[in-house]
Amino acid sequence: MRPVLLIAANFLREQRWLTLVLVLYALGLAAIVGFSEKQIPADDAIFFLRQQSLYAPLFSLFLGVSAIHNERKSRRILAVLSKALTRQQYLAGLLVGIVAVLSSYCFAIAISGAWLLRSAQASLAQLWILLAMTALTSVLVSAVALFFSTFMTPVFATAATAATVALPAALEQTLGHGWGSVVPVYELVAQVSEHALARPGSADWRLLMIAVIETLLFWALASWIFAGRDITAAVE
Amino acid sequence: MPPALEFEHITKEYRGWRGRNPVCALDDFSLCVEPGEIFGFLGPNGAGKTTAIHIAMGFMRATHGSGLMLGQRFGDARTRSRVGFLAETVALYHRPVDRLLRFYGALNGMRDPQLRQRTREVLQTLELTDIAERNAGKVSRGMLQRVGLAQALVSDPELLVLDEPTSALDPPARVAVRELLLDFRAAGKTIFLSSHQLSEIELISDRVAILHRGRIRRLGRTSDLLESRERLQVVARGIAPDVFEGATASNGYVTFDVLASAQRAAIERVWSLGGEIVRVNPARRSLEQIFMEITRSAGEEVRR
Repeated sequence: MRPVLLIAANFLREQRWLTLVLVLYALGLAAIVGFSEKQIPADDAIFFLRQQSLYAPLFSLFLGVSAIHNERKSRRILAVLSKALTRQQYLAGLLVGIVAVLSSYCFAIAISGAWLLRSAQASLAQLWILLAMTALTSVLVSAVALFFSTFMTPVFATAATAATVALPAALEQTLGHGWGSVVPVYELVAQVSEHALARPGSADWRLLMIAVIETLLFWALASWIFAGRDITAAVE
Repeated sequence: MPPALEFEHITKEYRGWRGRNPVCALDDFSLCVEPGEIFGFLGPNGAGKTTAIHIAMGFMRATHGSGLMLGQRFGDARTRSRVGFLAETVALYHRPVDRLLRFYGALNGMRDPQLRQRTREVLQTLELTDIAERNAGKVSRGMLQRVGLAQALVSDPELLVLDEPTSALDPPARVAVRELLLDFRAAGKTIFLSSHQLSEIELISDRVAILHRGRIRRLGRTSDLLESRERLQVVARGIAPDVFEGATASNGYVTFDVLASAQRAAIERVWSLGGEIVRVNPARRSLEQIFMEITRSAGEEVRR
């Protein structure tokens, strides 16, 4: 577990400026919304929260596809993988690192959202459910992206991740109920975008469970593929 | 005691998209590095040295064949905690040098206070104490190479695998690293050293392998390779230098090489000319001469 946490902490450190920008962006935007009017309508506050939450899966996609690529391109991966850690632990570390970056962003959304909702005198009861759905959706997207990035270039990995996420949604639209749960990113995003903070129990726990299981599954598959990959082409 | 490093009939092919344009980087490559020796691994660019090292470290897989590192299969994560590795291109995270060393040591399972103590020792040994708090991304190339060497040494490994460890160092730093490697060997540890600095390899290696186009062309003890059994070097005085082909004169002494089979005839010729034999020794060539001979003859073989 220690190597995983070391890699994760290192990833967070490497992405510290991006994380800071994301956090400041969420807080700054909330400040603009919050200070622009004396009394913020509850709808505006909820819209802000939903909108910020929908960006998280997008950020996680880009973090996921570039994590391995950046390390390989800079050749920093050599010094790391020459130490006593497995490729499985390395990928787990990257995934936990991405979760840490996204958690910082989600935390910033939570703080700014809570402040806006309080100003709008709206209920905060379901805020954590919205953020849990956002975080899990993002982690699933990053696991899928990480999986494709083990054997594809970032451009193809981005396309493949987008296709994997979009395909169940397309099948749901054409073939009917059930397909959306296969890789439930679209379903969860739809729930986030329609989330009503005042209504209790609006999270679909089944989808959240599927997201957790699939995250682990994609990580396991990514580890299996990455373990057999040549991580360097010869310098010569 | 098992060999420190053992390559067994390793072939590595790089293939393009859908297996097209295969390039054979290593061709049935076998090599055994014994514990406690400094092994010089030489070859021109593209010979397959880095490929062999990367296969040993588990960064890539052999197309055919296998190998052992400290008695375990290549790529075994736990074994790597007993190995220090320095890549040809030193690429490290941009953070203070001491913290960087602690990070790499921790990845190898080290913990405080041992890690703190070892970090301090390595910084002192490699004369990095002054830049311990400086960001590794902001040091010179030579310093970065020393930091790279420090991260390889931080967990006090049994085996050091070094790919061009002194390419960016100035002469005093090179001498310091050479002494460090000799101390390392004196402590009973093994060094597998790939380098283009032939004079350096000649000075410190116990054994040498010369690789060309994925195959070992010469392997043996450094002293045996440098001293020729077929040729002798004769030093004489009292004769003109143009009597023997390729002879050189200095301070009245004439030096020339002859085949061992022609030794007697050459000595008698010196005597018949009124000269005197000063000494006859096995001809000693530099590693550079041997290296050039091998790479040239291998190149001609390929052309034929």
